[in-house]
Amino acid sequence: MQRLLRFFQTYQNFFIFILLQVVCLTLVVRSNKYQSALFFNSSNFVVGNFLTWSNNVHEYFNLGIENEKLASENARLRKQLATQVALAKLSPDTSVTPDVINQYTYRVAKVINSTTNRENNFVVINKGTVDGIIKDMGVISPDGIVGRVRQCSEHFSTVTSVLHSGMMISAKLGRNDVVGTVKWDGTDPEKALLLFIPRHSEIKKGDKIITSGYNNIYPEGVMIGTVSKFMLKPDEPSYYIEVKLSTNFKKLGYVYVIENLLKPELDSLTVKTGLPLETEIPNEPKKP
Amino acid sequence: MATRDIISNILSILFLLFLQIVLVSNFVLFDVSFCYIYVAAVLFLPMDWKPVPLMLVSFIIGIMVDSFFESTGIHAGACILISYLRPWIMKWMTPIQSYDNIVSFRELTLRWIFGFTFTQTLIHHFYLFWVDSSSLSSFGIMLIKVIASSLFTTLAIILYRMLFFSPLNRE
Repeated sequence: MQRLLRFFQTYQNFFIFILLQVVCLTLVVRSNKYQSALFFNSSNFVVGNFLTWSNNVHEYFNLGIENEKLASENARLRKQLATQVALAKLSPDTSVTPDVINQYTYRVAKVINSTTNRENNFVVINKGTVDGIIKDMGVISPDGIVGRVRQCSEHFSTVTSVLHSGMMISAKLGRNDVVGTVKWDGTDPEKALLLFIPRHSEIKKGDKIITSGYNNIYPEGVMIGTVSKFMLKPDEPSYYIEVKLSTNFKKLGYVYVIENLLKPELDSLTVKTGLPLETEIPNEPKKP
Repeated sequence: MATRDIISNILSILFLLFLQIVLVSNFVLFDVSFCYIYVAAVLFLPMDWKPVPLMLVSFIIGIMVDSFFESTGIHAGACILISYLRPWIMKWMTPIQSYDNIVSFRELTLRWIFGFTFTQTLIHHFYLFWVDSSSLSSFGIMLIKVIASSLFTTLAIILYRMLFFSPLNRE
């Protein structure tokens, strides 16, 4: 017994080192695996408030760009609205119920932190459960898609951004509605890959890529990016397509959180039918 | 240790964390080179500390950085590793006149500080980027990131030391 004690005493440093490492690695694995309520992250009250303060300082330097962005978005929406009003006058469509027309509601939130240099990146916004934000809502910016709400506290939420190794977005080509999946490859924060586009489909450089609306998180037609490069390898069933993301994750200002009001209905139907519910971000790929 | 030393230590740690979170985390060169200046807080904890308190304090520093970077545990792990290895690294880098009369890092030459910082930063960043990358497919890119970031961080730390802790002249 005494020898055992002496043994521990001699290698005390080593054991404490191992213990602390195990604690850290457990935290890493846990934070990657599932959406448990973690204390040490940005939706924590102290951290959130500090980031808000820090962001308020940064904001002054980006006011010009931010204004320009919002103004151009305003102009675009105004144009869209005009055509919509005109269309509604021409042919009142009675087959669609108001429920479906007002399916999505939008809430404005401010980005207080955004990482781009890691393998799994996150965005922190300054709205939480008090403002009606819940897990799994979609998040978009004036430029395009941003991500999906991962965890909320009262006043803050963390968002899994498109730049996350486990994030997959159902997308389609704007030109011919061919559906594929957009996934980030973990290198360049301005570039992602579009997978599963069959080799018979027509594609050109500069083609728009938008959300397909097949998952019940983003509405159809949210901008994702444009085709910057595509290749067809002889032995592959689908194209290799690089996408230039339209959202600049380094300069996020204001974002919209999208709530799908029909999601509960859709989910309950899915469960009744016996189909698996679309799960959150899948677990990290195992190391080979 | 005098109360004054403790306070000045805590203040310099808080200052480095503040610098890291508010300012330095925005500095990225060519998308591969990142600056983690807060490593200085772990590296230059008082020389006479035993490994156990050293590791505990660096764990706390690491977890604080993690909270702001949404990277629970990664920075903390890297910090613990470098403070565990510190005695060996220091023994390996013994200056010509040995550590006999030296009680603080201020008494060592800038050249020694550079070597020490670079070695430790390399280990820290290797741990950091390796744990962060979920697969080994991008090992080459990871290695480039490690080396580029280590150089950047070392440079930043040396500048920080030169600004605030000019080495005492020992003749």
